[in-house]
Amino acid sequence: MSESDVLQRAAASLRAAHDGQREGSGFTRARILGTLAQRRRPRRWRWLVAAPFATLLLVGSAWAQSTGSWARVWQAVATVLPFIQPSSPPPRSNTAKRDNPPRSRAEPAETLPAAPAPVEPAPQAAPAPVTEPPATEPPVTELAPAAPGPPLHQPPTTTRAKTTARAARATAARPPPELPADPELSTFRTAHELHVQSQPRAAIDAYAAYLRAYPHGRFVPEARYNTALDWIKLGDTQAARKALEPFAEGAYDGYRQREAQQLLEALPR
Amino acid sequence: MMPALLGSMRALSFDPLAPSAALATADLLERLRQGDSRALGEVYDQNHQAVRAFAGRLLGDSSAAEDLVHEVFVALPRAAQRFRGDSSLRSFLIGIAIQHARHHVRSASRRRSALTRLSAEPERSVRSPEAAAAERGLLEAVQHALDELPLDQRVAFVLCDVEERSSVEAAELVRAPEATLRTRLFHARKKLRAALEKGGFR
Repeated sequence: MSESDVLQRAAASLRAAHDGQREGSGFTRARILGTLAQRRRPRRWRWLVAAPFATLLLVGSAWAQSTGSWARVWQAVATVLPFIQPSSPPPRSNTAKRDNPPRSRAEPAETLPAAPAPVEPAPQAAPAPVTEPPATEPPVTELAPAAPGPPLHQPPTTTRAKTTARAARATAARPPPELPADPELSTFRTAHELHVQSQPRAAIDAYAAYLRAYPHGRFVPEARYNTALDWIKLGDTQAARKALEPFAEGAYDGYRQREAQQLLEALPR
Repeated sequence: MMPALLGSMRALSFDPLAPSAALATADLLERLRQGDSRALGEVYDQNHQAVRAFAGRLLGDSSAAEDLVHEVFVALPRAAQRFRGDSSLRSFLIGIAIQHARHHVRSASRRRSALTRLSAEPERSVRSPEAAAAERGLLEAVQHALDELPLDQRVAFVLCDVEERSSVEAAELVRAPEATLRTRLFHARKKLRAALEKGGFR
């Protein structure tokens, strides 16, 4: 391009017109810094909101873990969030384990139902089928290994007696739950405690008293089933068989049906 | 940290800064990457004039140039994360300006067209005896002619002919081969010359 070239002159005029010096450059500087500060603010704000919540969550979890109320918290969360399995709570702390000791394998139906189970009207010959068994009833299959052979005709073995006695002591040591006055429950509890304390004869009488007083009561299936277990403990296989047969035939909507069948198979004829 | 520091040191070979300023610049870059607003202020103070000059020459509009300067420096903290020191920080800023220019070129072009249409002034005589008036006329003409160019050719013309950068440096800035840049420049000159001659400029 020559000196007088139009393009060169045009480029020079552009260069001169825009030399980058402007009085408002300070304003642009402030505008840039302001824009960046405004962009950063939401992130800082998020932290300010999230940090207290995170701290609260951590402290709350630690407190629940240390006081043993984690299981209750977990249950509460499970009721709110449906995707959490209530049956698989997180590991409990030592305190929680102390509060709720594990049940003995040989412990047969030691605890009372926590809440009355709904019961349908029952016929006279066969007790009423129960729609929902009490949640705290232990499975009878735990008794099955001891069932076959002579032990059924003999008093409970020493180990079993010790275990049962230990469980009975634990039950006795436990403070009774605060329940409103309920004569039916009270009568059943009397029989049940005898059953748990391995006093089968007294338990059978007490269960019979309960069944006479409340033939359509809430705990009829439990009373009848535990009576059968007490007959087994006493070695009266005929009475036990007679008591177990309705359960094995599914007279109680399948309640204890499998266990009853296993016991009947194990009992000597 | 270390590669970035070394990159920043390498970048100083392009800058006319004393070697003692090398660590200061590296530190400035590191603070910039961490989002330090004071570091951004320092970078602005050192480079805003060059960036504004380039933006003004490219866009031909002071307001649009100011917007582009704003956009370049706002984008800098994030863009600095990928700055490896292959060029000077000033060239890096010009590169950011080129990347963000497309939108501003269009808006500046639209604004200029609107102003021309709405202008009540009579058509300026390009053959005015006053030199200043002639220069103003040439400036307006070349800005309108630039608006008709594709952005790549426009950038090539501003970098090489207006800012008088070498074709190697310009090619680095636009991230294109040097031959490509030369081709763009050739076409830009050809079109601009034709447009100016058509407007009566010789």
